[in-house]
Amino acid sequence: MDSIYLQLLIQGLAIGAIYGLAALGFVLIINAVNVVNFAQGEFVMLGGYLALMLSTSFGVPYWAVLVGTTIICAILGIGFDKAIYQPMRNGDFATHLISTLAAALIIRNVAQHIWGPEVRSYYAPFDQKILDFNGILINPQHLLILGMTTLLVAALYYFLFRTGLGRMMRATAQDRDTARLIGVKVGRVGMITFAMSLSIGGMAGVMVAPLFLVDLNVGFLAGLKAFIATIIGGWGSIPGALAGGIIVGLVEVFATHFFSAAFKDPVAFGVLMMFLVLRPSGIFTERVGDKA
Amino acid sequence: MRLLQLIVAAFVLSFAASQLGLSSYASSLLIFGAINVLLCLGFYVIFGLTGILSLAHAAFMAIGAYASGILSSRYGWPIVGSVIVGTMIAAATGALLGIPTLRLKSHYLVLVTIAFSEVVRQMLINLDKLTGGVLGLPVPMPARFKIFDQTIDPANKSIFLLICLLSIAVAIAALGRIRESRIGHSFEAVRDDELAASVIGINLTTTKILAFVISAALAGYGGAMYGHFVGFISPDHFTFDTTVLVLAMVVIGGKRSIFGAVIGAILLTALPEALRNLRDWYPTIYGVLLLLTLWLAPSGIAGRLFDLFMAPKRRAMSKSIDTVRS
Repeated sequence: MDSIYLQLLIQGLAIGAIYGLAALGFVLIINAVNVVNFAQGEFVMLGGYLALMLSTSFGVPYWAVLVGTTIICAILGIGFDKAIYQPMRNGDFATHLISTLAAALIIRNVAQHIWGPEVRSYYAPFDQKILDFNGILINPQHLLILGMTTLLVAALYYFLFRTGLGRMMRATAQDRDTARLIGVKVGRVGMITFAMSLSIGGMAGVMVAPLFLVDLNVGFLAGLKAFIATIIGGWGSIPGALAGGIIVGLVEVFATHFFSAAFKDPVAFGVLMMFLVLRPSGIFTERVGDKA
Repeated sequence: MRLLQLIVAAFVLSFAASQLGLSSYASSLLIFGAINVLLCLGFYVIFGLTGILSLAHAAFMAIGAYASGILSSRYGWPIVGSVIVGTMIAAATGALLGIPTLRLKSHYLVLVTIAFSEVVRQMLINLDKLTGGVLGLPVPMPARFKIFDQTIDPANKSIFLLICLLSIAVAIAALGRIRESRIGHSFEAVRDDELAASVIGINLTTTKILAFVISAALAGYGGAMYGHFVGFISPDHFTFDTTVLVLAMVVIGGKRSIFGAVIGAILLTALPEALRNLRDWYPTIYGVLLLLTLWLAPSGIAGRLFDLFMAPKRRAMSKSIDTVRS
């Protein structure tokens, strides 16, 4: 194989992994409270800014940046549940969609006030180094993203299938009312899910900051791609979200290579339309019992 | 009859505005408010009346504005013709978007409309030979013309305001008629229960496409008017945030009535002026207002007013009939 394709493949997988992580946050919230969270992408944006703030203003090391961002996003997630989801919890689909859109507006505006409108850069931990394996150039950031994504997904699966809280979450996803009947505190589970999903989004934001730059507009497109990944993968499916994210990432990277950067989004949307027409249920079609 | 009253009201309002001796800035603001009313009426048709959450409003605006702008600036069309054709092109695009989204519901539909609007925006940027790309497109102002030996200059702000108000009058009268007609009832039936609507013989395909066409036409017309008034359009004028702003106006005003759409548009156009020194916080204010509306008054300001003043009367009139509202 030509080395350029291998490079593109790794780049596509890495960017796809980021979309996959954002989509994962999406799916967890959809399963727990049946809300499409339009503010998911804004947390990817926030992750980048928080990382920049933690490392430049407080000078903490990279691992602490990751942990700190995760904790801050988790706290914001609890606030999100209290302010955006709980007051409208009996609303219909459109109500929740509009309330999360409003949240996205607020988050972006507040971020602009804190950090200013200009695009910033954050290159930790590799500082734009490129590795050279016999002519194959690889950005170590891509490898970091792939490694971290694998770790995170493994941890998430362990959590969902081996711990009590994870089982409660899956029970809520399968049947909210029955879960409540057998004693699951559905509201509490929802809150924890918000905290988890949004901190996954924040972590994705920290890792992708060296690739996408730290920019207020990252959130909208990242959220849109995560949404597409969720639909391509199959609505509400966790492996589907990851697979969908990787498809979107690969399509984007190869479209940029073969056409031009201007066409990467139209091509990604074209693939989405194709999926909606040919296979509306996505790759991983699940029975209700298989959810989560 | 109703149309006549509205047209008289439009003349009276624009005459009053011209007599007030408003500053140039204040009259521009009135015109922006009027254009926002047109946009909100379009969004009301698709979202409030038919219950389809289509987030492609900015794209239809852009199509109307650019079609009219390109025809008038590059091909030298008269503005009246270019605005009409721009509106028709936007309406046709609305039908095109309506067709693939017929079978899609809730989240799929939302995503397709957002993706469509993003593709339109990127095309405006990339087809820079025709659209001027990111640099934007200068759009000519309407030329003066003669009627009964009187020279009328539409670029004059009070004349432009009159044109906008007359358009609103026609739009409101038409929508009022549609709402009380068979078509309007089928829109509402589709919103309340699609399956039941199809069972009683409503053709879902034509109903939904018609809703898309009317909504897109109003958005395209509003966009074209905006372009000719400002004299310059660029892809930055038609981002997702524009759609969200129209959505916020309709939801805050009250999504279930024409009155709500109008009041929302006026309120959210005037509000930034009242809060001049909070300029940088507008998105947050819109966001918080939206959340408060959804939480405390899901039917918006118009819905609340209806509850306060109209509902008791109506309840007294017909106790047995369960008024369907939401």
